[in-house]
Amino acid sequence: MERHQHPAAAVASKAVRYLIVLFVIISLNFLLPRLMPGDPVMNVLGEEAYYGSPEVLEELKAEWGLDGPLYVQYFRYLGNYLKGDWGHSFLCMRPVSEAIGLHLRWTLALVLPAIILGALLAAIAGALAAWYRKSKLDIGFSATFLSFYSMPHYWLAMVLLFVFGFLLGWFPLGKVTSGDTTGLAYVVDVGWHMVLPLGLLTVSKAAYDFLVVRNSVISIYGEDYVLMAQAKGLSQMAVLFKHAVRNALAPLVTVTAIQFGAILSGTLMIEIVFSWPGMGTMIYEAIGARDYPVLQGAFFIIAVCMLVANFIADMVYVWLDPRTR
Amino acid sequence: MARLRQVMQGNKARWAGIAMLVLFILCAMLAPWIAPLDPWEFGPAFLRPSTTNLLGTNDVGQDIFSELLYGARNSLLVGFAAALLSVSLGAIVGLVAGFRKGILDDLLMGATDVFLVMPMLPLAILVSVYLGPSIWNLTLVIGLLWWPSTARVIRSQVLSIRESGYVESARALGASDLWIMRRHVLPNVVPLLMAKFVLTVAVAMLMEASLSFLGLGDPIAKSWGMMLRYAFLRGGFVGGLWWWYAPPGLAIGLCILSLTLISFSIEEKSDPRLKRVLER
Amino acid sequence: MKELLKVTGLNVVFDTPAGRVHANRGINLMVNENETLGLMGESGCGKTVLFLSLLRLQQPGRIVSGSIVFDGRDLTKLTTSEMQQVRGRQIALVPQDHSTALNPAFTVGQQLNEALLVRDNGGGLWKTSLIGCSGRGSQAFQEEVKAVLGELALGDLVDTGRLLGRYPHQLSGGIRQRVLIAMALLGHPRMLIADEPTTALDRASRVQTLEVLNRLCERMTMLIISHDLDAIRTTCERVAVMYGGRIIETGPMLSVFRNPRHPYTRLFLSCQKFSRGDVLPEVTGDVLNLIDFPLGCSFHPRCPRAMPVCSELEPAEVHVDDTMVACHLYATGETTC
Repeated sequence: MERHQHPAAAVASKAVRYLIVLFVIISLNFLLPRLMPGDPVMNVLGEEAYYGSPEVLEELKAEWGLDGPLYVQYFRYLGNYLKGDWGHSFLCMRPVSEAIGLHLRWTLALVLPAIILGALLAAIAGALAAWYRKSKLDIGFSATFLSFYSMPHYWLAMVLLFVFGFLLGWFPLGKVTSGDTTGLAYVVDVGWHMVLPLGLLTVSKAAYDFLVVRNSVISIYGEDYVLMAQAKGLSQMAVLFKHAVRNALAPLVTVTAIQFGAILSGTLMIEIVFSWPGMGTMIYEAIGARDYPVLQGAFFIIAVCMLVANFIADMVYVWLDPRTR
Repeated sequence: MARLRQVMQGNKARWAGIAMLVLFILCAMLAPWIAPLDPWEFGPAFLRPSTTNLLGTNDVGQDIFSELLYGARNSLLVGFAAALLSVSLGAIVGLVAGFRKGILDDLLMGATDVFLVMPMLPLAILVSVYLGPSIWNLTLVIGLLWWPSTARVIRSQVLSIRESGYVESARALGASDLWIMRRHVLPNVVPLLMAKFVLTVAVAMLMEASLSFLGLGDPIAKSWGMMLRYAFLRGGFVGGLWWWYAPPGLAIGLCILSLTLISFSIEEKSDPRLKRVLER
Repeated sequence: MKELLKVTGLNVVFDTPAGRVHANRGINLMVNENETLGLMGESGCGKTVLFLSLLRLQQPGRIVSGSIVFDGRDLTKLTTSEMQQVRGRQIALVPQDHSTALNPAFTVGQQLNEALLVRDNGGGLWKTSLIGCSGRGSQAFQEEVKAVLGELALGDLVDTGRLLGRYPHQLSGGIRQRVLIAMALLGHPRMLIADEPTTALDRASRVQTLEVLNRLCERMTMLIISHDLDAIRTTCERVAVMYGGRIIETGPMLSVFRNPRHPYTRLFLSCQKFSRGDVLPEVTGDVLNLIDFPLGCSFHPRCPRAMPVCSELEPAEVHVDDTMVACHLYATGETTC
């Protein structure tokens, strides 16, 4: 359908869709505490404030916009959210936006490299499996990636940490650094702490992509241009990795966009096991403390990440497939 | 000959998946009879695996093997109930949107698009936090949030059937919408729904485990996710008691694997194009 | 005249779930240096498998016996990497369907440049990677492409620089077809195989392509696979007719066209000649099933002049004047195979 649209119109309709999503998410954040069972005041402010003295409670209610009719509250809420005022974390004793800013970078530090490395791994493994299909290599790759696909990420994280951390002692038992280091030593230290979580996420991401690459390369192998590439005198590997994989990249990008939420959720979960100070750990602690504003902020910012990922995927797709330009 | 082997291989994976799933379901159904001990009964804590406690005991002395058997009940129940809810919702939305083009379709698909880019885990966390820990709340949350992908697939399938030559000619011969629906659409949509259902069971089980692991499940009920949570929180992981945290994770993984294998084989059977690709 | 290509007793089979398909059965074929041979036959007669086998690209089919001697070397005995050096640089292919034969993800320039890189550096993955490059390449590349395009009567028609930056889907069929010919020529091959070079084209492009082929066949060895009799007539010195995986008649073009000997050739030529007339003669009966062969001559169930012997014995190849025919009508009593 979008093929017949003017490019600008396509971008505009996409932008409208994204705006609607953001609007729905902010509205959900506003409505959920008020619709759910229990006193909305408690749902918004948390238990500690709720059981404090009545005067303080009234003050807090005014401060957090819980007084007045619902629609007034709603517009105030919408305005605050767009201004970047997402509430106050009881647990961290700082504005939610600040807390999220601190944690988001560590999550992105895991997710972004994992997506790129995982796609690379899947492209190579999927192409080889397609080329040597039905061979031991193909079956081995398929079985490995299918296992990684099936096992819960955080459980795999526990197993990895147990084997490589506790038993073998090759890698640290969690966190980002081991102590006060600066400069290059800091980077090396962080890299060392990153090996296990990043490795696990990379393989998990590759597990999502592997079958897609394998099947698209197999179907591309029936195309005339692959035959033509062979007839030109290209080597098998050149045909495979240049002509076939190049055309399997577009479906790979689509899958990455679809699976972005899953890989992000996986990251959140394994952060908890690795004590990685990202969004996952923040959410975990917020759940324990019923720190609602933080959970709402996390929901919002992760949704924004999803939208950005979708947007980037759309752009990359157009770049990869000249026919869509 | 080569083809026979291929067919066998395809079947092997499917039968392995079905066998595993049946085993898990049997464990779940027969748990009260085959569990050696009452998994709620306290006893000596942190026992190593032995003949009485096949997988040892946890921090409050409950038998881990019996917990595992009972855990299958809740994990599978949540998985199947949530999948049933979400696939039914998705099927209804998809069929209606595909059949009634126009405003209704635009609205439904707009909603689906919005839900599709929404991060499910954080939203489920948020809702569960407000609803409080309970198996049924989990089921409801997963079931109500997971319908969009089913809706999208079903709608596009319905649309492609609607526009196909044989339906056009049936329509030209005067066939009614209802007849087309029964005769042409449903037979093509049902295998897809089955594949989607099986896959959604897997997703729901993973989601249940994740939410329970985060502390949003019922703390009293036995489920694999709760077992992992306690093993992680109460020293099983730090103490290296692998017999505590390894079995529930493995059980979840094998369940997901069996469901994935089954759904692949259904998809393969229902989509000849895919079959061609897989057999080449 | 020197023999460049000589195929002897080539048998190619495909193992399919339904059984073994004998796509090529004892093919004997010869192409002289600087000669143009036309290969004719209906769809499914095995011409595609034959020319793919010449490049050893017949997979999943297997060459079970026979030899393909090209320039003194038996191609069936070469290793994979030796074969890669033959493809493109010794024998080049102009594929039939210009709309699918170019990779949609690369520009025309990138794909032409690739042919050049293969010629100069070999077909390895690293030596030919140009994923990131603009495809316009060096000055020398531009000059060379311009020269080849000029030869294809495209030099004045299009701006070379712009053409090189284009993607295949942005070009017309005629231009794409000639880009494919240019791609084949850039490898400086000794022999060119053109598969149905005129079928997928509109009328104007067809005429232009015919002119191009005509010019090319003056200076190089070509194998043209076609059922476009005009194309064969204007370009080929000799023709071969295929049926049921066999070559059933071969000889000088004029001799075969004027005086076809095999009943199938006669029918085939008359079908094509009448294609613009009103009454269409037809080759009756079903297209041959290459799995369950009829005993004897594979054409006898459809042959208007079938004799009892035709359903019992596979006819041998016999020489009648300057042509070779595999038909019992011309059998002299002695069998050669």
